[in-house]
Amino acid sequence: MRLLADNLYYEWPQRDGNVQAVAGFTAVFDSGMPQILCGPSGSGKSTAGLLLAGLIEPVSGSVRLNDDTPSVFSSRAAFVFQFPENIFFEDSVVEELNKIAGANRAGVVRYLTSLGISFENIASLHPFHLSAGYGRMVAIALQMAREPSLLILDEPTIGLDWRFHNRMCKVLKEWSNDARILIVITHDLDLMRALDGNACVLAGGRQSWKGPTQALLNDKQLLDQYGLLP
Amino acid sequence: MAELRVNDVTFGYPGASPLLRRISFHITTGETVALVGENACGKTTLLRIMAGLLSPTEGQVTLDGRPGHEFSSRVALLFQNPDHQMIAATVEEEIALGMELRGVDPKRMRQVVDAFLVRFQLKDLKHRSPETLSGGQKQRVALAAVMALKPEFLLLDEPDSFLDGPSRREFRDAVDIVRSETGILWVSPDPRKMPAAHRFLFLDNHVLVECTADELRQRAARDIYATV
Repeated sequence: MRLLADNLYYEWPQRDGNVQAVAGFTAVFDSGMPQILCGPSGSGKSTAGLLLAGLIEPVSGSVRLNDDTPSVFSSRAAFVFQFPENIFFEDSVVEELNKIAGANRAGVVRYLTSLGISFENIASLHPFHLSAGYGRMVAIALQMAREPSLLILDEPTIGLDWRFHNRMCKVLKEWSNDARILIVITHDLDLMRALDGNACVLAGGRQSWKGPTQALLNDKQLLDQYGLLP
Repeated sequence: MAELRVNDVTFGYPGASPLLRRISFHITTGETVALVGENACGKTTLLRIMAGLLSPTEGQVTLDGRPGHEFSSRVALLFQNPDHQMIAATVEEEIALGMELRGVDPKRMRQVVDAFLVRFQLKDLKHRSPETLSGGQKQRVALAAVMALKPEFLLLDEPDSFLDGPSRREFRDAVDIVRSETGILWVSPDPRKMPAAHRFLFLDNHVLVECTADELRQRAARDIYATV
């Protein structure tokens, strides 16, 4: 399975003129191994992720999952925002689960258990009463349980403590396989190291470097150049 | 020197067992205290109680001996997500907003806003909408906006966990500007990402213990090894 971004452009509308976030972004993301999308602050990572998931339409350029356009593949794509509380709408975790088409309880329970969270303990809680870290993990587990063909996660490890961070790395690594594409937007070098795979570095709204994640991690000069050193 | 004191505070959300049990500690102006704890251990809840946004089930928070409702304006809280506390149309309006709501004289307000735009390196961004800024810039605006109200205590809820290296360094430099004039409680979920601090607290299994930075790091290293 292959996701292709072809010469994407996108501008966020502002009162005092548009801000160009993505400018000539061309990249290929394959299934079979995790794909890292990284780059300095303001390089267009999150916007690129939204374009790849088909959640926003580019000003120009196109996105294809194999031969499908976003309008065809969007039901098989999932995107989890950096602050996932923005996508909770129901009054309890279990109601959130029931509203997400294609997400089954057994899958959610399995992913949450792998992360070290008991679904039974949080099922009746209001999503806004979850801690920020738990909210992020619940949002990710809910989308994973849909078993989408394309899963894009925006900074999945921020705010996780040392134990949950480790478990999240493992769960994501295991989720990635030949039948689906996992793209992780992150500046977390520990997560990149754990996921391995390929990295696409954005700068100025376009792909500036691409290669094996380990090659990026082993090149301190490159990490510094792209603002990736902690 | 002012003292913000948490006295024997217990708190539980309705229908749940207590999240915080008999928590006691204090911060004084001029010192930075780092508070580390696992996800969902009650760190944010404790900050909300200290800021007067939640009432403890038992115990109380005092500032120089006075109870919470008398001092809320002297304690500032910075949320994890800066979008949750920015509502003005421009950066300079955001910094002015708190003073405006407190009826500060417009001329004085203008002076403070100008000074804070310079102090936090936000002058070039003053006409920008906060929602168009990067995460690091937003967090500096949020910090400038709360510090413009001259709080004696600043509660930081994982303020830089979502920032990349350069933005994190910029934010920590901005906090350094105000370290000597406030007492800071800095909450973090990971001992490896703690700020420099005078004292370290660990919220573990509903209770709070004071420890050293090394003890916290060793604890994290042990747990990481155990989950590999």
